[in-house]
Amino acid sequence: MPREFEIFSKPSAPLVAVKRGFSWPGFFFEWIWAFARGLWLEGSLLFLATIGLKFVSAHSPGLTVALSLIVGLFVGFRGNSWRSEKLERQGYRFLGIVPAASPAAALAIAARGEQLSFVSQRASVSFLPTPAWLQQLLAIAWLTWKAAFRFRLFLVIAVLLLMSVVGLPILIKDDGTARGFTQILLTYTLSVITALLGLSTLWLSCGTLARDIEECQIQMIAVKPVARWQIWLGKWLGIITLNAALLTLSGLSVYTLLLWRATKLPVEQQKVLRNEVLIARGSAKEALGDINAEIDKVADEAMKERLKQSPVSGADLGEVRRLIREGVKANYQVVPPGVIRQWHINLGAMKNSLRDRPLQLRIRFNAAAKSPTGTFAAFWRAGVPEKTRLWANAEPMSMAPDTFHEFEIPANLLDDQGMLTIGFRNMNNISLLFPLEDGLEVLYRESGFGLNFTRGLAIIFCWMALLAAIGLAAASFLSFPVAAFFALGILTLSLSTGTLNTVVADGTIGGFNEETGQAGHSVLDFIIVPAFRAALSIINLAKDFSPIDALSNGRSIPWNTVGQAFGRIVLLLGGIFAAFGIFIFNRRELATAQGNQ
Amino acid sequence: MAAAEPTRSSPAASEPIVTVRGLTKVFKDFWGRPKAHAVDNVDFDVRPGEVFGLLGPNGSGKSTTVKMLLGLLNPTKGHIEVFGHSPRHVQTKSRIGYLPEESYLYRYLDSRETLDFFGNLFELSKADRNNRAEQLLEMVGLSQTRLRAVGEFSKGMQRRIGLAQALINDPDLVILDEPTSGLDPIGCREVKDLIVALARRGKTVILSSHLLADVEDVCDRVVIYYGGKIQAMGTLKELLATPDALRITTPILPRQTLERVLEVIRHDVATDKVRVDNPTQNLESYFLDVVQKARQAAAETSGATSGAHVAAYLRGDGETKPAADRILERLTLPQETPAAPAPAAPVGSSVDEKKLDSLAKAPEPGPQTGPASEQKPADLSKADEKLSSLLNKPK
Repeated sequence: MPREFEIFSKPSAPLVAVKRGFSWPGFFFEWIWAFARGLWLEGSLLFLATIGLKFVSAHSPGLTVALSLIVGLFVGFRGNSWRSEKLERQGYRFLGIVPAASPAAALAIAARGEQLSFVSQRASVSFLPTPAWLQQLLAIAWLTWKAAFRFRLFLVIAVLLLMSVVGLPILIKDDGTARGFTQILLTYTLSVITALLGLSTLWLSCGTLARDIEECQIQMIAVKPVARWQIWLGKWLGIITLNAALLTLSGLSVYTLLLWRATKLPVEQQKVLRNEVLIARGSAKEALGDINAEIDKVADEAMKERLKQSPVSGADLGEVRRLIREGVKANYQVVPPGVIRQWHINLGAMKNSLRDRPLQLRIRFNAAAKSPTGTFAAFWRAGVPEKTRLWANAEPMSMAPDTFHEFEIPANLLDDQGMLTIGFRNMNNISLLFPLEDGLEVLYRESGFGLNFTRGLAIIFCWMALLAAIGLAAASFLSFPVAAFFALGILTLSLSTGTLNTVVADGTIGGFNEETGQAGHSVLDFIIVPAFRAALSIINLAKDFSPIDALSNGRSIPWNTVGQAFGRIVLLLGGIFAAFGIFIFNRRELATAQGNQ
Repeated sequence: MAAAEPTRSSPAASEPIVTVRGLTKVFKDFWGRPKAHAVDNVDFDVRPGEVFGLLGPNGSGKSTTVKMLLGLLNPTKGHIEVFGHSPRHVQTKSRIGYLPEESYLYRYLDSRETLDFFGNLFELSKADRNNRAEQLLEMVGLSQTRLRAVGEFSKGMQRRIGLAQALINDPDLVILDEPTSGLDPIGCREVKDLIVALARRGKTVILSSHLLADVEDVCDRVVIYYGGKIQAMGTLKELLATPDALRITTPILPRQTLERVLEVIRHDVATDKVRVDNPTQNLESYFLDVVQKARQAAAETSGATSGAHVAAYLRGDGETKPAADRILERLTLPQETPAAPAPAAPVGSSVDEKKLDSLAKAPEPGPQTGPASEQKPADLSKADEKLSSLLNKPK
């Protein structure tokens, strides 16, 4: 491929040739190349980036390779245009383009004053071309940023967020335990940040579009070669990037404050904090699928028996089946007095990474009756004789029912296949019940807190993106204050799913009369119950995620959960609102009769 | 305009740039009941290279028509084509520049940022944006206020920015809605000069206004709206010519001479049909003189200065053009006088006797803006009369 050089000239200075296109030296040598070319600012930034990468490489080598490749490519693609821009800043004038084999040859040709093919503007030749639609989108997004800064909005929200992060722990004193500390410094602050940011996002997204339409600035944009969807998405992009910045800012302050204040806790509480909160723990449970299949099988047999004895009519068949299944399931959950219940938990996939690491058990049980002391004696054992090491608690643990307990078990109790066996002996004279769903789970260290915290914030960010889409969609067909209240209405509705749940569970909006056992059926049920059910399932698409809980409990938020959150909240739900908003906005007449009504 | 005519392509020969057929806009209330017939069954064409005026009193449907041309309003009935496409066609808009009737600018941006933003929407490169923004700010006389927020600007200065953003894409079709409203007389003059310069470059201009002076000075063809309907359409010449009257301008004559002349005239015409008065210099030209003198004394202003030149790329002789184009242009275009158009021939002079015509023109002094503006009172009153009679209202 013939190489092309840009020729620059300046009075009383020799001609300069700069290669067009990819710079291989720049790609390989990055900051060294930049300094060698006298690009001091770019070189310094690249140098800082390189140092930053060194820190990342301690945590994840794969990421480091990817990032340095990106930096290298960036320098490769942009490097030569940095040089050209620098020459123009120095007063050089762009003469034209010369095809040549080397810079020297190019200069020789240029010096003879021939074969210069002119392009109208040097900078219009972009080495990493931005597509036109993106340029427009970014211009509109950037406008939102400017508005946020010029109207001091960014400042006000940032100060509010920081005040709540710093102020909340000062207002509410924690009780000195790791739990209480976490509750205030992590759970409360993150909740407040989410609420504050959510409200301002909603308000801002309604405002940015609705006000533009009311004050007619949108007319100036709509008459430019910009599609309406670009305007809409540009506004969205502006708000969510603004959100990302605010969330990063407040997230960072929560994180540093948490770590700093943690050093002031008593030493043993610090240890608890490190083991149970400032960590990302994965969890494993008994494989429910197998057990459910087993329950179904047993229940089916019991059902056949039951039908042989006394046939039931079709309508009650389902109910009978349900009762039988509940009964069978209870057998699997109940631990009668003196009986040993065993759990087999498969940790084979992370057998190696768990070597020499202690594990935690998180358990919960219900009791058939109250005990005089309020607690029950619990004997736990882990491991299989002759196959693994054994562990058992020497003294009986005293545990209260209906609440979660966490305690540590030693490392290396797995067998060769990575199976962990846990036994519980009921030494009380009351039956205990361990729910299949969350009766017992094993928690193990998966990764550090920092990255987990970031993933948690990412899910909060997904919510913000959805709120921005809701606000913009409302503003697409309503004027400003109305749009804001409409969007707030939607938000309130989706936060108060209690009523929806009740209606769907009761199967009626008439309400269930506890005394008579009669449901107040109404004709509206045919429409409203399915509508509520649909609304509920849509809302739950977004509400199923609980990053703040997970972070407060030191639970790992896996990458695929973040991916799911992004897919469901941003792409699916946000996409629905965006499609709706863009559709309306596209059909809307942007100029009213009098112009500025 | 006489001066601009030679370069314009013969309109009838080429395809119209804007075609409007049976255009109707009915504003409806909340229940869908018709509230106002803003535009009622309007037909017109705008041909390439002409300056087309939409003239009419306030609320006659001019702006509504313009907004439908731009796709900001959807017609209730009828058909619009702009450059052969629907007004909602996105890419067509890269050829259109629009100045709305009010300055709908982002108040928190400064003038540079405003132009940069709109330049981005037109997909201009950074170099183009910088280059054009500088030239445009120079042109509209705001190069000294480029870092002040637009919201702090006076109305006239906002209009100037509005005008600058309408031209940043070097449009083929410029739609100006009340371009001179809020502008000082110099600004008005400059806007008119700009329109003439654009037309000379073969651009098409659609101008909506209720100011007769605007329209008369620059438009080739006008439609006159009233009540959403077109009341008259045609070239200014067709509309304004009054072949049954004649005006003679001379230096001050001795009383006896005047008596003698009048005697001769009364011989043929009844006394009450003859009128003798002094041509007065109008306020516009007086004001222009004062400011011109002040500017020569280099007075500073924090407001809008007078825009110096039409931006180079709009004149079509910018450095951005390849050399070959420049030469081609020089060969094909007649030498132009950039600032002011050559004095227009008074419209009233289209009388048969060419001799009398030249007699009437000869004694006039020749300052730049003088001749054109001195003709104005007479012309304007004619235009007003015409308009009033069209609207069935006694003046």
